[in-house]
Amino acid sequence: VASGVPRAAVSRLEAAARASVAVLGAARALACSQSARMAAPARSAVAKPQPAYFVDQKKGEVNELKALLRNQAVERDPRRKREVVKKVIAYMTLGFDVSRLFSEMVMASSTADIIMKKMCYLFLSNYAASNEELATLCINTMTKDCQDSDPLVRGLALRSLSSLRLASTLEYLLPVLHRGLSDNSAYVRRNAVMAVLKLYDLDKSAVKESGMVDTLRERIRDRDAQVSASSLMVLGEVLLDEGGVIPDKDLIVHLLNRIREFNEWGQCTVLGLVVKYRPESQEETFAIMNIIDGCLRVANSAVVLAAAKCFLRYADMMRSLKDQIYLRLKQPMLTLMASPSHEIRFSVLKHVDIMVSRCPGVFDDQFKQFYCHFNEPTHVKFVKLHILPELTNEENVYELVQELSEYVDDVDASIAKRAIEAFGRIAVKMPSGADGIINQLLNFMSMDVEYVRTQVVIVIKDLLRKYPDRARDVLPALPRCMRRVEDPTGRAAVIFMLGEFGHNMRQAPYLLESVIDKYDDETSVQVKINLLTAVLKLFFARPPELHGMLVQLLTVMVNDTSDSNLHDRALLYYRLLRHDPEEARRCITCPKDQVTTFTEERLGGLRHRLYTEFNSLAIIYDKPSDQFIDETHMQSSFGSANTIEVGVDEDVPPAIPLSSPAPGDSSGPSSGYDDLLGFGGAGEGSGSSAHSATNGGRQPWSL
Amino acid sequence: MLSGLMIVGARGDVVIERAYRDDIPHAAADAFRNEVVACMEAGSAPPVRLLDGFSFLSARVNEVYIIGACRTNLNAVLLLDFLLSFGRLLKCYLGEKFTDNDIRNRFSLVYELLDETMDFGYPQSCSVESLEPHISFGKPRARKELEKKNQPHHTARELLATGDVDWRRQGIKHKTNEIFLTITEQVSLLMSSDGTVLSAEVSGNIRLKSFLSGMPDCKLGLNDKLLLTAQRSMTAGGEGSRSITAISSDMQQVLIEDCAFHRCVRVGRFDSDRSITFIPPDGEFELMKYRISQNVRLPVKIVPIVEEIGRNKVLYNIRVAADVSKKRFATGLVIRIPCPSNTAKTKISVSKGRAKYDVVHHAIVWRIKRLAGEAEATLSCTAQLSTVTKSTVWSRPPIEADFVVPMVTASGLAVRYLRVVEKSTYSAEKWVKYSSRAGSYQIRI
Repeated sequence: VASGVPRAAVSRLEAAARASVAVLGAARALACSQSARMAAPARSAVAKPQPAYFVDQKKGEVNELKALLRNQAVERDPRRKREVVKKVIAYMTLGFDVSRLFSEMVMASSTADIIMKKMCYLFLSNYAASNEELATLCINTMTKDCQDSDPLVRGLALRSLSSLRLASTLEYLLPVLHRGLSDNSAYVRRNAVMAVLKLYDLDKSAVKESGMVDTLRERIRDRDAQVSASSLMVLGEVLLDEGGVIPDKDLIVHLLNRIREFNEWGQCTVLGLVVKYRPESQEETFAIMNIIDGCLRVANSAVVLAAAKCFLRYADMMRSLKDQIYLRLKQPMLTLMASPSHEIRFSVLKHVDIMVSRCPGVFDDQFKQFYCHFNEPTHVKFVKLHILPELTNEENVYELVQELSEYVDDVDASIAKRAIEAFGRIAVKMPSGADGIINQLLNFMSMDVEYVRTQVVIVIKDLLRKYPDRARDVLPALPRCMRRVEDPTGRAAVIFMLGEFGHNMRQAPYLLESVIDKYDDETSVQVKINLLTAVLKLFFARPPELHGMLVQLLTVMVNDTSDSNLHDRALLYYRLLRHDPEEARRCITCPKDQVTTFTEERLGGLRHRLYTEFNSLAIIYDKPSDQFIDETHMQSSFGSANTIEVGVDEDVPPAIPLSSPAPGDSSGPSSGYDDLLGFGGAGEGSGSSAHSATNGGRQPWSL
Repeated sequence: MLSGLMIVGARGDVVIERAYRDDIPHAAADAFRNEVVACMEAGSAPPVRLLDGFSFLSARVNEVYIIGACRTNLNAVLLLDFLLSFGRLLKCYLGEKFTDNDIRNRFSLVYELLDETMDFGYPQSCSVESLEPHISFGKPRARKELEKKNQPHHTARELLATGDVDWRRQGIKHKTNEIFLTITEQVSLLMSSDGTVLSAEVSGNIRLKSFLSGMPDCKLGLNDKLLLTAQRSMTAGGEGSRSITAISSDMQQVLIEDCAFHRCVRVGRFDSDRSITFIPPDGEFELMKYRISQNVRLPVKIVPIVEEIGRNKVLYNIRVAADVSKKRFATGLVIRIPCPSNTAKTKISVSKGRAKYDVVHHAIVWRIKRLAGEAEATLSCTAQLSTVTKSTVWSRPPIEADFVVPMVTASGLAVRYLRVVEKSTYSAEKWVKYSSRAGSYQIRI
């Protein structure tokens, strides 16, 4: 065994050397060969008690580095020593465990060479957690460095000491922090401020008891803007239970007067505070608006959005200015949309989306800016396709429809589908354009592309619920659809239309008959349920033709055990008919309320909640923060969780209207976005279609 | 604040990773990386994603992904912005086209940059100027070039950037005082197949490279329509009116729809009288970016005629013209003309440049090195299509063009003057360069 160990280890070593990335190049190869030479004696001392498979692959090299770090010759040559330390860090980065060098690195860290110090501290803060007893060794050096004459060293030491995140550092850290907070170098003060937060993460009570919160409050008015901004960030987290920093007039005036001194992140923090502040008078509001107007001209998108959030809040406070404020925000938002980075473009578009739904009409004249470009990423196109229908008005509807028609040709099926959905939304929004759009949609049917046909059928079905008069144009196309649409949702839509509008269509019963005949081949429950309802509805309109079919269908369906829903419903209809056909007729062909709006259009509640979280992840995900963040992480947020509290205004329904289930609560994360106009769950075609729209697929069926 | 940050290479391997808090388990990060790699192959991935309650924000810089992870409802744009600025910083230090290997080779520098730009998940300063004294493992590229040219400039550690003008240190000295101003415009065009312009927009930026001593105060004058009208109305009837009207009458005026400035520009002054005044940082920076969508003059015109004849033949006739004055020219013209995917054979003839059928992208790539102003070039091509059993309609993707037109701004924006005032009253050499290039330049067929 003894002779086997080195050979196996060496071959592993070579394998590792081959596999590892060519980072260290020649130096690395040299180390390998050296270590192979020197490995044997070193390993015999350390590795003998362990079985071979526990031996660390890099042990040979680590030992060699250890020897080098202790070597007197290396000690005297700072350049060489730096190389060795660099190699140690390189291994650390590559994920090798070099924690055994801890004590050597502690020793190396007491040097005047700042480059070396930096590397040593990096190493120490990385491994301190796993070497707690050894870590105390480096505390000494670090506390000493905190009193160095060079502010860079002081700052560095302070940052590293607080990054060790060890409970044992607490007693040393406190006095150093107190000193650091009143250091005369701004760099040290800033690091001290951030260190308070790290301490808070470690031990919450220590910070609150030490009176550091008050010191931080003083630091908000530090003459250095960065220290001031950092204090605000830190206090925001430390005082979370109390709602963060509560701004008063004095503070806001102080910060806004020097907002130009802050860097971009600092400006965002200050603006986050301004959002929380409620001005006392209208004059004050105007004064604040004048100052933050400058922030809209800053080249940084985060600052512009933070300022926009303030403006939006004032727009809610002063309704008379709402339109003007949105107009002011329009151009900066459009500029951000032209940003070369598609990451920013995407996020900004999401925010524009919510602004458009909040204040319709403002962006209308710029609708061309929202045209999709061929090589844009899909997610950017999705947002644009969601915004475009919102921008429709009497003047641009023709152009927009032309443009959307181009997207239906897109090779990407998901884009084409959303473009067709967009048609539907425009038609719902603008009754005057509905005729043209339905004709256009019928044209797409001839395109001979499966997903286009399916999506068109689905959208047309929804449109017919709002515009039943148009059925006579659509019906002639249905026989063809019946033959060629394969997607279950699409087939369900065709069948629904046949049942709902087929009473004057000669072929309707025979189309349905063909489906009944192939009942056994049908796998989709959605199709089956719609088939049942459609046959039933047609039965009351044309009993002689349908009677046989209905009997046939009910027989197979009652015996169909594949889905209890299906079976139960067939049974229900069967009993209803047996009980009293006249009663059944009254139930099934009851007069329907005209659909005027779809639930999805009344998403006010969700949109409103989202709006209060403007400029945060909630907007990007289209769901309020409590739906994607667990409780322990709620609230704590940086600059953004301070939601805009808005008074309930007349045009926005209360947060969750009772009449419609809260969107997103039950029907999954993407509802309200993806499923606009969607047919949703299984049983919606049943019974009264007007109400099924509001049920949103939650209940399987209603009668 | 971010819980962690990592840099991921093109193959989804972690290059550098930093955990600020312990609330992101490794498994979650790995799951995300797998997804990134998967999406990379599929084409596009949204920059912000939610995975089991963890939010991941990613920014792509060159072939590298910079990823931030968090569990709270953060300010998404701010963090994306931070990730992108960090990417810019890496470009500054590692070179414009750095790769993941560059990061690996200089990891101590990258760690150092990370430490100074983000502390415990909160973004700190990201400006090259204010970071420089804190970074000891390397120097920004621009600085290196400068040192080669000029005398080495003392990096005084005591002069940490603080106070009012934190983007510039006191006591900078240059042998020759120079300032270079570059206006670059990206022209985006979307043209319908019948030749109507659906949208044409210029998004431009003004970059400055300033090598000026002391604390120079600069003032930039553009042919901004609002500025000129304001001046004219102000001086109307006054004595000085003649000279100003003389300037503005022979100069095209441009309406800047929206603009944003570097921090050094006094925005208050701009809002009150539209003058652009600033104390520039030393070195290179973006002074201003703007957007203009009115009266955009398209520097390159493309008129396509594409006819599908029968089921297996497409005829192309493309005409390109450089719509600039005779003295100017367009360079690096690349026009990508898409063909159906079942194209079997192409017969191309061009009057200028070279054209080749690119089998992979199903497009004819036509390159013209240089096209003089007012000149024209044509391409005609017959594409034979192979017959396929399942005939699908060709989606006709748009023609895309790429070009650079030096010394021309598509918007007509021009610099009227650039004044540099400094206590020591040296006269600075000023250089102005214009260029227009294609942004997303698409012509539907």
